[in-house]
Amino acid sequence: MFASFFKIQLRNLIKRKGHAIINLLGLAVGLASCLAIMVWVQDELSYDRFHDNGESLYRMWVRWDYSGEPMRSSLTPAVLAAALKQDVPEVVRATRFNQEGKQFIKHDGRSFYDEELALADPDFLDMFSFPLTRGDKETALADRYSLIVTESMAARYFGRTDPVGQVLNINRQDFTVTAVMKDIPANSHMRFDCLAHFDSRPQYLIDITENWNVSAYYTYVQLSESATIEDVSAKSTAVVEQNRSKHEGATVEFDVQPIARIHLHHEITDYLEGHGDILYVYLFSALAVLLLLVAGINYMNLTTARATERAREIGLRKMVGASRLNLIRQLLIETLTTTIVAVLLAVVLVEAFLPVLSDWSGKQLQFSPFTDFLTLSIITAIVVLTTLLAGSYPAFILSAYIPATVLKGRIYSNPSGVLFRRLMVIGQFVASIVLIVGALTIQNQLNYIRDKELGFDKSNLLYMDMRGKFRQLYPEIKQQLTATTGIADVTAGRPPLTGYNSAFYVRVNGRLVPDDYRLGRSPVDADFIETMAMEIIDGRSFSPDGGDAPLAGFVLNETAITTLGPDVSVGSHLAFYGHSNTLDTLHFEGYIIGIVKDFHYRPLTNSISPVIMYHGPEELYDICIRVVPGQEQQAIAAVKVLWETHASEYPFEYQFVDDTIDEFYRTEARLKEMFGVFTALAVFISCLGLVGLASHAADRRVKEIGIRRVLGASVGNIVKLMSTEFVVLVMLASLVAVPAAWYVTGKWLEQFAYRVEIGWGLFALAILLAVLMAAATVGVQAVRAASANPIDSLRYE
Amino acid sequence: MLKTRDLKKIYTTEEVETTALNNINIEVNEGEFVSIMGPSGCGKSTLLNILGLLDNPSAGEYLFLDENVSVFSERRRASFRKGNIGFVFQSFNLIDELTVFENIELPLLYLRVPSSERKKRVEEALQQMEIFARRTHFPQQLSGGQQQRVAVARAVIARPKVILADEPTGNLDSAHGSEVMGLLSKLNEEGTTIVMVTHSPDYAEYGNRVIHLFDGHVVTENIKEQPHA
Repeated sequence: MFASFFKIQLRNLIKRKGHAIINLLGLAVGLASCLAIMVWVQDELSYDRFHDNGESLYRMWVRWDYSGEPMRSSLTPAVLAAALKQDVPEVVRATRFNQEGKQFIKHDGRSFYDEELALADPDFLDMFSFPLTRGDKETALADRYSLIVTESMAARYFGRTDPVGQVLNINRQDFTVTAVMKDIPANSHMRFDCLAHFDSRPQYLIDITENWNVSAYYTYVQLSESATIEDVSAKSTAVVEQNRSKHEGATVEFDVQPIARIHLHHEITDYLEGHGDILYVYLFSALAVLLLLVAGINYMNLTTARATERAREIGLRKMVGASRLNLIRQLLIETLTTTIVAVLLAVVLVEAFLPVLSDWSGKQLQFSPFTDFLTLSIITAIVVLTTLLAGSYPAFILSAYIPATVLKGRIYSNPSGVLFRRLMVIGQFVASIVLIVGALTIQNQLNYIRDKELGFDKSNLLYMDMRGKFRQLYPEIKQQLTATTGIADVTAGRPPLTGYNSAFYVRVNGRLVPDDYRLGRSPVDADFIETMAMEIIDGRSFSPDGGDAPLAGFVLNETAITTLGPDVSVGSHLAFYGHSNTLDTLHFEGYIIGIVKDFHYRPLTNSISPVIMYHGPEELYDICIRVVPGQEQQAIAAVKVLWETHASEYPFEYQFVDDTIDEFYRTEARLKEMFGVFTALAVFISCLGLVGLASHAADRRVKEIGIRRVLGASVGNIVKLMSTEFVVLVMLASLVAVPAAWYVTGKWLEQFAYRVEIGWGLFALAILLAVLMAAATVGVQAVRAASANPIDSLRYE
Repeated sequence: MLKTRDLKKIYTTEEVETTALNNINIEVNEGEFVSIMGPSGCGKSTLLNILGLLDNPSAGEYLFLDENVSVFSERRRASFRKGNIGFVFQSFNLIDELTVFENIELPLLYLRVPSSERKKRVEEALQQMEIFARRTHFPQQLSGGQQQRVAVARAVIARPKVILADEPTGNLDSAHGSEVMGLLSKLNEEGTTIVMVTHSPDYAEYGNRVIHLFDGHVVTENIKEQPHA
């Protein structure tokens, strides 16, 4: 019996190649897209789930509320870890943690700047499952200057020699390698190449790590099995309250976040890695379901549209004794085999495009459809779902025909079937239009962010970390470079949006500023404001010719002025404490001399944050060079010559500010690409469906078209006649799609502090695109049908 | 064997009601060969479809082997058709995607006849209809007469109690037409009940009784004293 089904199916395939290809291709592309998204989603969901203690590991975070606008941050005082371990019984283990970024490492007389260093306490190794392949967990971080390196770092530095016992010089401090760790899995939110003891930080930073009022580090805890989050939260808050100085009217609450949530749930700011976003996981999962639906609908529509051709066979089978159940089974098995073939094709497609997909998503994606149980189950589920979704309607409709009507000759599609197919086409185009609007919105938003007035000029601005003598000789180097062709201006200080410092322990008009205001501290050269092209709106800037003494005056952005309070303006007194032995020591003080128009100091998903700039020659670590457009190469070459002269022991590394800013939006930029591609695929599949339906409609109306042509209709008349229906369907789809797209895109944009308006133009464009594509697809079929010689179609009637 | 009582069939579209059959009372006995004649649109095929349980009447009763099948659901009609009734049509109605062998085999598949027996019976039928050499061909590769022989083979393969033939010679030239009529007569002689719709008075003569239909009514029934020569 089954053999007969397959025979029929195979012979049908061969007989109607075009139809078969459309059907199979649509389904395969839909399934491939769905699988590809699933691979990505699976990877996103796998973050930090490989730790054996995963269930009991948490990161501390804090909710600050000063003025009714609560802030959430995962940065905590460094002293918190030890205090929690001592005073909160539920905390079994605790560690401080920080990622220090790339470090200058000297080894064998050569210097390197590639490895990321992280700092932690010994508990870290017991809490997290980062297994050691050499060395002992108990002693690996026992000494202040012990160092654990990953396997790949060990191979880079030591080749085949045993790394344990070797010495590496990191930032002029010798560290002894005590252990080798397996490379950090790609799906870990903590990322580093080497790990040292937290106390290996330079002496001058120790003050900060011991201060309860400075929140700048991460704290991870392992809780006992009986612990409840509420208890731990309350007890931690109590511990902090005992130690921390109080701010009037402020509430500060500590809480814990399960580590498995860190990657995707970043409502808590100050994250470690280029995080994911649960919103995108939902968004893409929805996209996967939509693609599957669109492909399923195609199959359903093409199959039922062809029902009239199939009906005869079905009727004959009934006549010779097939029961309805026999026929339902046959039709479902047909769908099943088609789906299985499509899935196999899809698997091949995904395998082929996996490198591209990895590239888009910036991940090393794994796809093992037949060995990974989860993947295999999902694929099986998709096959079953698609078969039932796409196959059940045709199976039940076709099997219900009364044989006598069918055998009389052609049967005509029943009105409810036509209505159903139209509804399905509308559904497909609703999905397509929503996706097109989504893709356009993402595009617009990213362009908007890129082109947004930042409050300073980011173009052609090169910056680099000054090292060795280069830094000491900055004034002379500045003079030399300013005289070089290709260089317009030279200044020093960290350009906005490339990194930030917090202004710990500031008093304004004698009042202590809570560090939780996220007040930025930006030591700059005297001509920084001019070189950055910031706009002074009150007072003046530092006098670039050196008329002001260093550290005497402050220039703030508008947000800083409003944050600090109504009594603060040009002329207010500001004092910085700390930086020397204890934080209570006055460091320097002066008056606010100017206010600049707001500029963005931190990435745009945040609102503008407050920042204090001061002329601080001792704290200038970055040189900023405004390059003349088109002469970048000469400028870079000139800088390189000086670098080789004064800092040849350090690698020559520079960046452009606009590139750095683009990096912040990498997640969004990748999202844009992926979303664009899948949108195009969804539209492609929908159009394939239309081709099928239109060509079928043309076949069905051959006689009608022939008669119309004989009576004098032009090809144009016929094309219009046949296209109108589909274009109307697309227009109807727009009615549903517009509000849906409005809602969804609005939700996505909410996360940006600065966002584009979604205008009607964008919707109009999306609808126009959809209508054009529908008209073009249907039009081609219509022209083909209309151009045929009418005699051919009428001869056999 | 087949008996109708006040059988009615009314086709309803949105605006028009067409009475295809009106108060049809006929009876067909076991072993009979009954011809139904009448002009186009008189309801011949409708009657045959109802007799063959391919369609249901709008009113009236239809007894098949003393069982009132007019009240059967499509599901029961389907299972009742299976093995009891064989069909032959003017347009042959073979499945284009199946070979001659597979077309003939199909009723046996639905009757769950084991494969070896299927093969044996289909080959017998192929021999009997003299189309054995064509068994792997597809319907389009055959002449009309050959196609109709395949259709007859398929109709008899399940050894049904009755064969319903709807203008079986309509698409055939006279030579092939006579050939098919010869086959039907032979089957009738072997005991199969046959009801045949035809336009042709000559072929109607093959039956031992002719029923004339006009505008949905039975107008006359001629019982022949002597079967065909």
